[in-house]
Amino acid sequence: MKSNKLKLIVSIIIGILICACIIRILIPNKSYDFNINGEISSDDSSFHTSVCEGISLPAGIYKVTFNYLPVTDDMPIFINLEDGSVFSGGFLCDGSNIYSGTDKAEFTLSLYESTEALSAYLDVGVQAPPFQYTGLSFHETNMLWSVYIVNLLFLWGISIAIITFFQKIKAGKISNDRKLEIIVLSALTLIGAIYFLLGKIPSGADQYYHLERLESVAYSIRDGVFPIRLEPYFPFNYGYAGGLFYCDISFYFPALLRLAGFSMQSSFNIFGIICTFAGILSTYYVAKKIFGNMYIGFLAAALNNLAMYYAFDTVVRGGTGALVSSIFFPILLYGYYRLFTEDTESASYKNIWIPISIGYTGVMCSHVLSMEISALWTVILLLTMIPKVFRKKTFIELWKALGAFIVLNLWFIFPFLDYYINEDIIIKNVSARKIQEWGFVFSNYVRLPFNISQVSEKETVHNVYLLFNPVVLVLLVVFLVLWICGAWKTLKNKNYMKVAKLCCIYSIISIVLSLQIFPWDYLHSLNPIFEKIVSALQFPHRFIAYLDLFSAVTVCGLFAGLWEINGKIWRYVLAVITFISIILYSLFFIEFTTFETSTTKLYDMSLIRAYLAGAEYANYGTSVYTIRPWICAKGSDGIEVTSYESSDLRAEASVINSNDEDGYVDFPLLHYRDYRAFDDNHTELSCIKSDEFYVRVIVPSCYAGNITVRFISPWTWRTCEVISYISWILFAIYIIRKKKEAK
Amino acid sequence: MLPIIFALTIPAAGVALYFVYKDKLLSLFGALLYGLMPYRVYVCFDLKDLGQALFWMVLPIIFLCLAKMYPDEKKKSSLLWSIPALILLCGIAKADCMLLFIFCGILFFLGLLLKRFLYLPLSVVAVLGSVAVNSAFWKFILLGHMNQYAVESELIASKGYSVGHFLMSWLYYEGRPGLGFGLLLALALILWYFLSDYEKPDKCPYEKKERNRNLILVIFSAILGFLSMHLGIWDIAERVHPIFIRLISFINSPSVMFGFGCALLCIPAAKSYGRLWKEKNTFIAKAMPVTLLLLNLTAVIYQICTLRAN
Repeated sequence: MKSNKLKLIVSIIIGILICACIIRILIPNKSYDFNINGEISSDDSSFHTSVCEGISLPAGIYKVTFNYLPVTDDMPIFINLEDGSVFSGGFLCDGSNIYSGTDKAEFTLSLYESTEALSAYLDVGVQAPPFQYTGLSFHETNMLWSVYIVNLLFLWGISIAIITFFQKIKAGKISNDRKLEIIVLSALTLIGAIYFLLGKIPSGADQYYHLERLESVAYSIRDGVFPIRLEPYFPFNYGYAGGLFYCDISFYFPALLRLAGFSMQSSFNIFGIICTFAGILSTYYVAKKIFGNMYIGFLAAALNNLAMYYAFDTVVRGGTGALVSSIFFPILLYGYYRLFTEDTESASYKNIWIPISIGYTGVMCSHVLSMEISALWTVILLLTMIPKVFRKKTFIELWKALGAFIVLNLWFIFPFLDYYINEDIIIKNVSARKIQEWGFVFSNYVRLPFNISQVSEKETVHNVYLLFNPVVLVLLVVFLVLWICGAWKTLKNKNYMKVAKLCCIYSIISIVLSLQIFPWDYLHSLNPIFEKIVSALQFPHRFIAYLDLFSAVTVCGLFAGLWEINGKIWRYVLAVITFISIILYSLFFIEFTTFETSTTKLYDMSLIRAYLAGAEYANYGTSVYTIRPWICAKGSDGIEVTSYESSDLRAEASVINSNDEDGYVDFPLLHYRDYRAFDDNHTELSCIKSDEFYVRVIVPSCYAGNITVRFISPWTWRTCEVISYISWILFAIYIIRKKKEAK
Repeated sequence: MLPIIFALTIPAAGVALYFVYKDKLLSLFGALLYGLMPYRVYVCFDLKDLGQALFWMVLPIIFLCLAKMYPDEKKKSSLLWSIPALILLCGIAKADCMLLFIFCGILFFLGLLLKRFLYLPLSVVAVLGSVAVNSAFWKFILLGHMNQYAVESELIASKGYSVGHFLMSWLYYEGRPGLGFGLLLALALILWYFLSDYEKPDKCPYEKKERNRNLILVIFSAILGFLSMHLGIWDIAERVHPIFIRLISFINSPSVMFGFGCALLCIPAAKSYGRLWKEKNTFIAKAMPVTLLLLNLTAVIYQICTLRAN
C-alpha cells in the first residue's frame, strides 16, 4: 500500500515536470542573430581569432549558423564557440570546419546554463585564402526540453521498477536466485561496458563511420524515410548506399535519442551499454538453458562477453556491427542445440525454427559479414550433424527457419542482392584483398597480459598482440583430455556434453582459421567465388569472436561435467583459476585498451562529414575522398540554374536551357540506379551517371522549369517490404499465441 | 618515506578494526581492503603527497577513537575518547588542513544520521582547533594574500570521475583511481546481503540497527562518490564567493571525495567479507574473499610498479 502511494507520488511529480517541459515546447523558440562582418586575410593565420564576444544566451540547445561569402577552396579554418562562465559539462560544442563550396557552417550548441560571456572564434591555419564572414545566428530548438522529458521518463521507469522490486521482495515474490541474477548480470554489464562509461567515445578505426550512420538514421527518421536505403548525412549530404548493404535497424534507438537532443556521445554510449547488457543476457540465458545451472550461466556470460576480442572489436576496431551481431550468436547456438538434442516427438520441437530464425535475423540486421561467417559455421555444423539433419522433423524445422529468415528479412536481402548483382559497386571489386598475413601466430594465444615489450612484429596485428585468454585454452585441453579418457561417458545428462564436445571441436577449428598457417591465400586463388568470400572476411582473427562463444560453452561443459561427477575439490580449484584468468586477462585488457586507445568527445557530427572507411558501397570509380559540398547544381554550357534547394536525398533546381540541344545538370548526389528526375508536369527526365559518378539529369532543349531529383525505391523492393512487414506481424502473433498456450 | 607510510597503514587499520569489532577475520579483511585501496596507491606513489598519506594512515586510529566514544548499545557513550580523537584531528591539520575540513564535514553529517551526537561538537571543535594549529592556512583561505602553499585558484570539476573510472582496477586515468577488485566485489556482496536480508523484518533489533548503520555508510559513500564526479556542482560552489574558490582549489581534485567514499565503504565491506566467510560453509565462499584480496594485492603491485617505471 505504502509502495503504491509512493509510486503515485513519484508519477505525479514526474508527470507535472513533463507537463512543464511540454508547455515550454509549445512556446515559440527564439533566434538570436548577430550581424558580424569581418575579413580574414591570408596573413592572419592564428589559432584564436575572435569573431564575436559577450554573447548573451539563455540555456537551451541551439543550431548555430555561421554565414560567410561562398568559398571555393578548402579552407584551413575552423569556427567554434567558447565560454568560461558556464559550469563544467554545461557547455557542449564541437564547432565546425569551413568547407569549400559552402556559404555557411552549421553546428549544435548545448548550453545548460544561461550565459553572458559566450564568444565565437576562428582558428585560421597557415596560408588560408582570404575569407569574409557575414553573420552568426543561434536558433533555439526544443531539444533541451525533449532531453529533459526523456530523462524524466527514464527516471520514472527506474523509480517505479525499484519500488516494485522492493515491494515484491517484501512480499517474498523474488527468489534469492533472481536477486543474484540481477546483481551479477548488472556487475558484468558495468565491467563489460567500461569504455562506454568514461564520458567519451572510443575512437576506434571504424568508429566515425558508424557514428555517421547513426546520424544518417536520425536524419532519415526525422524526414520520415523508412526503410533507409541511402544514408543521407554523409559524405556532405551526397547520400551513400550504406543502408542498402549494412542494415541500420539496430541504430534506430540511439538515433531516436539523437533526435530527442542527446549528444552524439551520449546516444552512442547508451546504445553501447544496452548492447553489452543484451549480449550478457543472451549468453547467460542460453547457457543456463543448456546447462541448467545459474552459476554456469554467469561463467558463460563472463567468458563470452568480457572476452578480450569483444573489447578489441569495440574499442580498437570500432566494429559496432560486430558488437551488435554478437548478441545473437548464442541464440543461434541455442536454436541448433535444441534442434539436434531435443526429442523430435516432443510438442515444443515444432517451434525450434523460432530461435534459429531470430538468431539469423539479428545477425543479418546488424552485420552482414558476421552473417557470412555464421553461414559458414552453419554449413560446417550441418555437415557434422548430417545424419540428424535428414530426420524428417529436423529437416522440416530447418526449412521453416530458412523460410522465416528469408521472408522476415526480404525487405533487406532483396535490395541488397539487387544492387550487389546488378550494379558495379566498389565492394564487388575488392577481391584482390588477401588476408592471410593478418592472421595470428600461435604465440598470440599463449601470452601473459603484461609483457607488451616482448612482442615481435609478427605477433602484432592491429597493434594488438593478445586477443584470447590462454587459461581458457588450457581448459579446452583439459576438456579434451578428459573426453579422450572417457570421463564424460558416465554422465546422466548427455545433451549438454554433446554441445560442449561439438564446441570444443569448433574452438579448435576457430583457432586454426584465425592463424597465419591456414591457407587463406590459397583458397583465395582457387576460384572467383572463394576469392570474394575470403577477401570479404578482411581479417582471420574475426573467428576469435566465435572462438569466444565456442570456448565458453566448452569450459561451461567442463564445469557442468565436473559438477555432475562431483566429489572433487579441483572442480572448485578450476573455478577459481578461471575466475582469476578472467580478471587477469579480460579485465586487464579491457582497461588497457580503454586506457591506450584514443578517446574523443563528440557532441554532434559537424566535424565529421565524409569519413567512408573503405567507401565499399559507392559506385566503382567514384572518388569519394575528393567530394566537397556544392552550393548549387551545376549545368552544362548554356544551361542556367537559377535556384537550387536540397534536403536529404532530394534536390530541386530551377533550370533554363536556352540551347537548341539537350544539356544536363549535375546534382550533388552520389549516383545510384534508382534516382529519378521529374519536371513540373511530373514527366520523367533521363537521369544518368555523370563522369564523376554524380546524378546527372538530361535537360531537354529550350526547357525552363523546375527539376526534382529523388531516390525512389523500385516496386519490387516495396513488394518485398510489404511481404516482410506482414511476416513480422504474423511472426509476432504466432509467438504471442505460443506463449499463451505454454502458460 | 611514502612506501613506509603506505605499508604501515595496513597494520594500523587492522589494529584499529580489531579493537573495535574484536574479530580477527573482519579486521584482516578490513585492513587489507583499506590498505590496498587504489586511491591510497595513487596518493603515495603517483601524487606523492606526504600530508595526504599521513592523513590516511592516521584515519583508522581516529576511527578507533570515534568508535570507542560509543562502545556498546547498552553502555553509555564515553567522552574520554574524544580527547585523543581531537588531538589527532588537530595534529593532522598540520599535514593536510583541507582533508581535515572535509573529514569534519563528513563526521558532522554522519553524527546526525547515526545519531551519534557527540561527533557534532567534536567536528566543530576540530575545525576550530585546526585554525589555531594552522593559522597560516586560514589566513590564505580568508584573505587570499599569502600564497605560501603555491596553490592556484582553479576550477576542479574537470578533474572529476566518470562512472567508468570507478570500475577500474588495474589502471587508472590521471588522478582517478578506481575501486579495485576488493571493493568492487564488496559492493556486490553488500548489495546481496542487503537484498537477501530485506524480507526478514523479524531480525533482532541489534542486527537491524547494524544493517541500517551499514546502509547509511554505503549511501554516504555513494554520495561522496557522486561528489567526486565530473559535475558542475563544484563550479557553481566556487562561484559563490572568492573564499570558496580558494577553499575548493585547495581540494585540487574532486577525487578526494572518492578517497573518503572508499574509506567509509571499507567498514561494511569488511563486515560483508567476514559474513561470507562465516556463513557459507563452502570452499568457494572461503576462496572468494582470499582470491579477491590476492588479486587486489596483485593489481596494487602492478600499479606501483608501472607508476615507478613511468
